[in-house]
Amino acid sequence: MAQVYNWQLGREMDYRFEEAHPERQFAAVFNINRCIACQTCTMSCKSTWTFSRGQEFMWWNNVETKPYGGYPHHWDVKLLQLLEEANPGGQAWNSSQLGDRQPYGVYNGKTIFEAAADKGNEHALGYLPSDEEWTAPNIYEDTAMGAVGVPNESHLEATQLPEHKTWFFYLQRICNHCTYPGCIAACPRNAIYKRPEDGIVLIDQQRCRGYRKCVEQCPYKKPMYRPTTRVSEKCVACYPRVEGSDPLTGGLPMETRCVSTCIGKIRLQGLVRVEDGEWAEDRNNPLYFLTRVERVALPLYPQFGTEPNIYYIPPRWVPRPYLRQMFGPGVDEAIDRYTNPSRELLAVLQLFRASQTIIFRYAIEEGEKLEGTELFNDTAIGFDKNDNEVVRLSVREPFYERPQQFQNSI
Amino acid sequence: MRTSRRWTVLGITLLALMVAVGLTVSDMRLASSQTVTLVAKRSEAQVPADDPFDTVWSRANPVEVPLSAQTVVPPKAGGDRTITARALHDDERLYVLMEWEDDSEDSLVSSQTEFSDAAAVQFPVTPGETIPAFCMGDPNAPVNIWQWKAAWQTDIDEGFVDVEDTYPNASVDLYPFEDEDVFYPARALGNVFAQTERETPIDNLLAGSFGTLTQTSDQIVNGAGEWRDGHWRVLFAREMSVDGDYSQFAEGDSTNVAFAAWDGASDERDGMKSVSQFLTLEVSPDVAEGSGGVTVWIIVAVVLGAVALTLVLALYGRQRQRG
Amino acid sequence: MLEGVAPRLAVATRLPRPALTAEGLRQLTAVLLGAALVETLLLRLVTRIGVHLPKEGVVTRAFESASFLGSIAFNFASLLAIALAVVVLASLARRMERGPAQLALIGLSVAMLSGLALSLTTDSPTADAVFGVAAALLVGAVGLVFAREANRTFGDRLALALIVAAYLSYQYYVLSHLFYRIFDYGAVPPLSISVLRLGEVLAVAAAAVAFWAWGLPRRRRVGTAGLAAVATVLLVLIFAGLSPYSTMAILALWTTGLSLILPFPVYLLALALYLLTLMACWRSGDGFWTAAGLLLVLLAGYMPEATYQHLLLLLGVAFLSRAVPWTAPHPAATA
Ligand code: SF4
Ligand code: SF4
Ligand code: SF4
Repeated sequence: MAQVYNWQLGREMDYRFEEAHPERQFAAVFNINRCIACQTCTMSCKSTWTFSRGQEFMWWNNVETKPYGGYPHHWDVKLLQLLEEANPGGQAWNSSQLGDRQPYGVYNGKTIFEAAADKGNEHALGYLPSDEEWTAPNIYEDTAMGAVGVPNESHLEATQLPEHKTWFFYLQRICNHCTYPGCIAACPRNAIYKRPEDGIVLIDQQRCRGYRKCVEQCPYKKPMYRPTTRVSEKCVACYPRVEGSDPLTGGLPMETRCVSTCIGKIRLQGLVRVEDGEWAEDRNNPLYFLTRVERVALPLYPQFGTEPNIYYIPPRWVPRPYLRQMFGPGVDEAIDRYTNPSRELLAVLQLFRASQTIIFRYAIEEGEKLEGTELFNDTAIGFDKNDNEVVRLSVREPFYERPQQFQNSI
Repeated sequence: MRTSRRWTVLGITLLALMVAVGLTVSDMRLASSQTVTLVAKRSEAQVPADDPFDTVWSRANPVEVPLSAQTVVPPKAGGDRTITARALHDDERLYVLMEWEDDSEDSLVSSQTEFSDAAAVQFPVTPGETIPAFCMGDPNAPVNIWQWKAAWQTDIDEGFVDVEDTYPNASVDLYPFEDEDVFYPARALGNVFAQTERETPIDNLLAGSFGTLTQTSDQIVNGAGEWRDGHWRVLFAREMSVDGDYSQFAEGDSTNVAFAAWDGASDERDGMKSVSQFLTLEVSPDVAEGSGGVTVWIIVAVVLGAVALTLVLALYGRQRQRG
Repeated sequence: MLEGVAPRLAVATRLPRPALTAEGLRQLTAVLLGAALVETLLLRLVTRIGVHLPKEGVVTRAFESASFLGSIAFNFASLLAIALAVVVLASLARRMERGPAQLALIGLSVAMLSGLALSLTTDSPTADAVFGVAAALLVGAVGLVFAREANRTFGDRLALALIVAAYLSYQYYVLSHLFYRIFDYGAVPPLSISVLRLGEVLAVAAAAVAFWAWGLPRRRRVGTAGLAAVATVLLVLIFAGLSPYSTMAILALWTTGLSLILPFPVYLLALALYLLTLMACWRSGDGFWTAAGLLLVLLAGYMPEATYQHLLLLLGVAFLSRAVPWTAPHPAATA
């Protein structure tokens, strides 16, 4: 076992392979607060990649209602339980010392790799979901958390921030194109690889022999076995779009299908630069800014140890212990900053779903104070890979009045 | 006196060392293998490659081989099993038959958690005088593996098993571009696992070491497997001499053979299997009769006689010179 | 040490007298032990671990030289083993009274050696059968003769009986198949696998009994160095067993023929006891031949693959039985 540095855990950890990093890393920020669970993302992925025989149950993108929902059923509860059994009571963080290389402090518990190393037989802790668990992908949709410990009871009184007593939220999930993927560690055939140019994790459809070790050991359960080809498949990060090789892109890196179709404008996806194994400082890359500068976006279950690359702005109304378990100790700071955004953050949030073209850099033009508020009407400008402007949006959305003659037309 | 004794020992040692170097340089080992031998006798009756239960197999000399869990490379799995191996040839083809007990017939891979029973035989590509290098071959001596899969057998016997065979209502009304292979990427890339038209249930593979298993494009091994009353019988058949860097066989030659078995019901796949040591495989010019019904009594007589002899020896051996 | 015995032997029989003295034989045995150890480490162990090595320049060359050196050691050890086996069998025959027993021993020895010669030069299964049966009977005979000696303790007898029984179990598995084949009998020999697995259990039990019989009385002789050596070997094994790329199974199954049917700690414990016994005997003045015997049996392994390993086992059992005149403790020493 090699030792690799996982910045999300603020420490080194065991991993099957030596540390190696791509030039750029595929990453995205999902703002949970804005999702309406319309599943447009889900359908756009399905209609692009998984509409064929044997893929009926596959949802590379899915949106599940937490806390009860899950695709496959209870995947995260099961993983957490496995970790807990492997290291009872030990999954704790020490956040007394924060720093650039440990923005959330240090995780003192066990990752899926470390828990497996203790047993010495597998590369990562995991389980193989059954067919039944892959059915009903939207199970428990919109089911709110009831009263804890009292069946069929909910809190009926009015509820308010900072913590709702009756709550649920939508969790949008795709493959995390992890820095230290569980799927890669698991594969005995070395059939899974992480691309050096963009960190996208792919299963080689020629080498795969359908052993399903990746299905078993990806903690996020994103590789899936396809019975018609007898091998496993997974989210491909819409790589032809990200590469700019899809004819539609005109040669410019373009956001994935599930990101660019998002109705709720919750998603922003791009590529971050990596140097010497770390995210290179790139303050004006919106992803870098949101996760590393403002730290409003957090990894999903960082304690699993795969260093996932989809970052979430946590929902403001959910009880904090639940969120801390899901997104780590950065939750309180992230919600504070999101609730009282800086001028820059407010401007950058406008860039979500503003264009299909991947934004590599943004700039801000300062605007006037908006009357009757504490807000400023700044303008965020997004630039593509070649540093050409692709989008420009102000904090206050432009107001159009429909002329009288078109009043009733569509 | 003492010096001359010392010289005797030194002399013997040096002489032996010189002979040893000589033998080694001329690639010889001063030992012969005493492992159990699987002998492939010549069958005058036809050996059907698709019927592992054919009566011709009663003429072969079976060998029982212990398998133990594969515990070298994680994930470790498998367990203590026993297989019975038989072999025959008909001048053209070599046939190897494996038989083992398995309570469940796991021959589908249509659901997420189904794994296929499987069996494999393995030969060194170049048979050597060396003590067999086990497992997946040593760096300089690759091995040729023939792996039979129950799921592939089902594809052959019943046609390609699709999702609907397991879940009749799983399919949807319309699959766009249904006939275009590109939407079945593994199939489009020629991955044999994804093939819908199979000619053989047996995969022909080469390996140089763990993790170097390579699929070959020459699917030249035929055979069949069948599950009956808690037993699998799997037959492997291949031309004795073939083109390519594969194991070759010829009448009168000896090589090595090892076995492996996978139990789908225990989620075994890949390195999770039970394996045997290498045995000697001899392709014999003798005709397979399998008749020796009476001779077994001769064996019993011989063994009893020998034991009696040893007892005599032991009883009389007590009287010796030194009181 | 042999002064008291040698003159008597000289007049006792007309069989030719070995040219070597007891001291010389002891030295030759030590050389054989060294060669067999080198062979086991370089050939049987390293080449098999070599499966995991990256196939690149330096590693491959180192690997090839190791395997070449191992082959030399193998041939060297094999030659010495044959020579020593001849000497041991001859001296066993010499110390017997003339009569059917001596004839039987000579007959079996000749059968084994001619079986060996034929087996080395031809592919004949009959040669293997002759060698195998003769070797099994010789090992059994030496064990039985020993077991009837008056001045042996129950522990001595039991330990040796278990070693012999384990070997005979394995030989039953191999030889029953061989005879079925020679007589073209189209069936599986009865109980062959059960006997094989039983033999493994006996082999493990033998280690514990050997400790009780030979190690425990000499336990003070193990010493710190001996303890450290045993602990090191065990730690290496435990580490190897726990590490992801476990060489444990290679060691166990392919070098000694143990298929690890019992829980792994049982084997570790058995090995620890066995090695402690070996150390204790090695380091006490009267234990050389017991130590040599134990080491030879260990290197022969539970499933000897080659004729050479069978000879190691035969020598080991002969030394352990102390039936060979020049290995017998001096009357003064036992008294
Ligand atoms: S498209 Fe956007 S808003 Fe709709 S479910 Fe997906 S992430 Fe949520
Ligand atoms: S989310 Fe799962 S499938 Fe995706 S890279 Fe990480 S471990 Fe692999
Ligand atoms: S990135 Fe592409 S492949 Fe992956 S879930 Fe989104 S749409 Fe599907």
